[in-house]
Amino acid sequence: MEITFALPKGRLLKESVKFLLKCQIDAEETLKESRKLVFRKGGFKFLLVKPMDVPTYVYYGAADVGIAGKDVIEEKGYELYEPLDLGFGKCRLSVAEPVNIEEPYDLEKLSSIRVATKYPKTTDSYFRSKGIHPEIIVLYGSVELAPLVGLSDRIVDLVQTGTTLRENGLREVDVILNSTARLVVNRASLKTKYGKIKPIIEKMKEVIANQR
Amino acid sequence: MRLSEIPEGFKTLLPKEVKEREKLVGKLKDVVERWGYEPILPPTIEFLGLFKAVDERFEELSFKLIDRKTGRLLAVRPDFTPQVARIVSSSFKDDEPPFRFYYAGSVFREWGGSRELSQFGFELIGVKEVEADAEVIAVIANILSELKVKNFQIDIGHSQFLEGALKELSLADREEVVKLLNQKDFSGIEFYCEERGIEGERREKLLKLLELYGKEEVLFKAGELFKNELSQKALSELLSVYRILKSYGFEENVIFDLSEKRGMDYHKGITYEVFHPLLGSSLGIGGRYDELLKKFSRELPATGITLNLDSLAELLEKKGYSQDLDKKDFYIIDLKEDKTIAYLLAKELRSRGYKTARDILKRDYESSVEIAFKKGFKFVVVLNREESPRNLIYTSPESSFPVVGDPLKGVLSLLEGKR
Repeated sequence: MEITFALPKGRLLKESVKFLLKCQIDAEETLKESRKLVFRKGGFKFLLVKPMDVPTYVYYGAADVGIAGKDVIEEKGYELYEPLDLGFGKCRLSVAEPVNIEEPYDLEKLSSIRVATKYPKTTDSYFRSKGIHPEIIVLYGSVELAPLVGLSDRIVDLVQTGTTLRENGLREVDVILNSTARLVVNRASLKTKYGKIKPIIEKMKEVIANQR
Repeated sequence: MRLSEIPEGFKTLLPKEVKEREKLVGKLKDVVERWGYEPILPPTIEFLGLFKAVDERFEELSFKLIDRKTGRLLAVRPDFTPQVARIVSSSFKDDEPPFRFYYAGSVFREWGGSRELSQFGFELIGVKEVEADAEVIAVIANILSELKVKNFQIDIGHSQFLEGALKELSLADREEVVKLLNQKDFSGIEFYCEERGIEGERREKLLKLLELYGKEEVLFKAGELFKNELSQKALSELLSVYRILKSYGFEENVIFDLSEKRGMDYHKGITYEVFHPLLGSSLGIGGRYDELLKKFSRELPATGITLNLDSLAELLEKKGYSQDLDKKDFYIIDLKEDKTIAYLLAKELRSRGYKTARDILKRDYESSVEIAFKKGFKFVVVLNREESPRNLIYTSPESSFPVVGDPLKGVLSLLEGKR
């Protein structure tokens, strides 16, 4: 029985491949420039998908396991096993606003907030849990642009170093979620391919422990 | 609003699916009836209080309406099991247990995804021994083998084992721990321990609790780890169930998971969930609910399971099992204005038990023939062609035979010749 991995294109891919290699899983071919989206090697199948889609592929069983950021897992909210924090891909899902905003961010004073984000669900539940009514503008990229052109007062986006924010005259004012890359596993896969998947998790655990 | 718009989470089954679904339910009924289960049909709507009393979550999960006669809240059935419990404690209050009931129908839930779930379930009420749990699992295995589904796994857990283990570890924020365990979040548990300064043996045990899933050796590992009475009792129940299932020859299809809390709040004791490698979600879930009937003033132990028919149908389709359920026999195309012959032929064929449909659309008949075969008809009869032979019978889009003389006799003799 072949085990299928869903790997996130972009930011997390390189480190995911590096990590898998340490676990004796060779996914290096996915790093080569090509339009191919499916790769096979050593009894594994690798699917290269958009980061936001990793939980979806795994939840519906199109992939048995996947690597996804905690931010994406929370946003999708699927029922999945997420056994391991892989430690890499550290970033925060944060609220940011223009440096020169008239009324700076203050959770105590806000009753409503207008934010642009790629993470509508997480943003919505965060503000509503604080009793603040969020008006959410969903964007699919260049979220930093929104406050600059008056589309929204603030944004909720991933922050790694803060450089992009600074370059766009924004500052981080609140952290909604700390994120790292996680291993996610389909529930049915773990139960029905237990003999194959459990050893993978064990090996990964060992690698993580050695990294500390 | 466009009239064709439909609400989220509800769907239509088309003829082919309905037929397959009916056939599937028919098979399930056959199996459970062989085990002595009897049908029951609870009402679609009941007081919300019934459901809420057994699990608070039903308040949020239910579609609610107000009963104009009493002013009380009604719920469109979100779950069958509480209804079955109510019925047993009222309509059967003077009968001797055990009771074996099965049901098929929809439950409705206010949540994301499908809001109408098509279910088939059965309940065994009045037997406290683990033989009852083993029976329910054996019936499931029986159903699946009848459907030619082989590689299934029945995942067995025990809520009281977990209860005992959590009490033994006396952990704060129980709900958070249960969530982390349900997600098998090893790193999350490590972080939880770190945050609260949980160290040494307690930490070790909690991390090992998370790992308690796998084949039967898990039961022995668990026994070494958690010596409290509740957990030990649960383990001995699980072991007995395992022994029975082994004697039935199902041990390959059984896996244990002692660290997860599954099912509804009323599930207390052994729980089971059914998985298949071709399907990402579970096929069904169930378990013990000994406390539930107490709420209706009838102290009876009980166990049962509900299968999700949509998932089961999806699995069967993936396995290509359902293909020949849908064969229809004759499709009749009459090219003459006056369709009497087609009508009479169809009538005759139907009276002989053949599924027969007529072409009543105006289009060139070659494409009608093709469409008929696509729709699953075995034979297509074309009547009153302008050229000779006037009447033809097709056995595939490419091959046809002339029908000589009276169409009905011709068709029947061709059928016999073919056999």
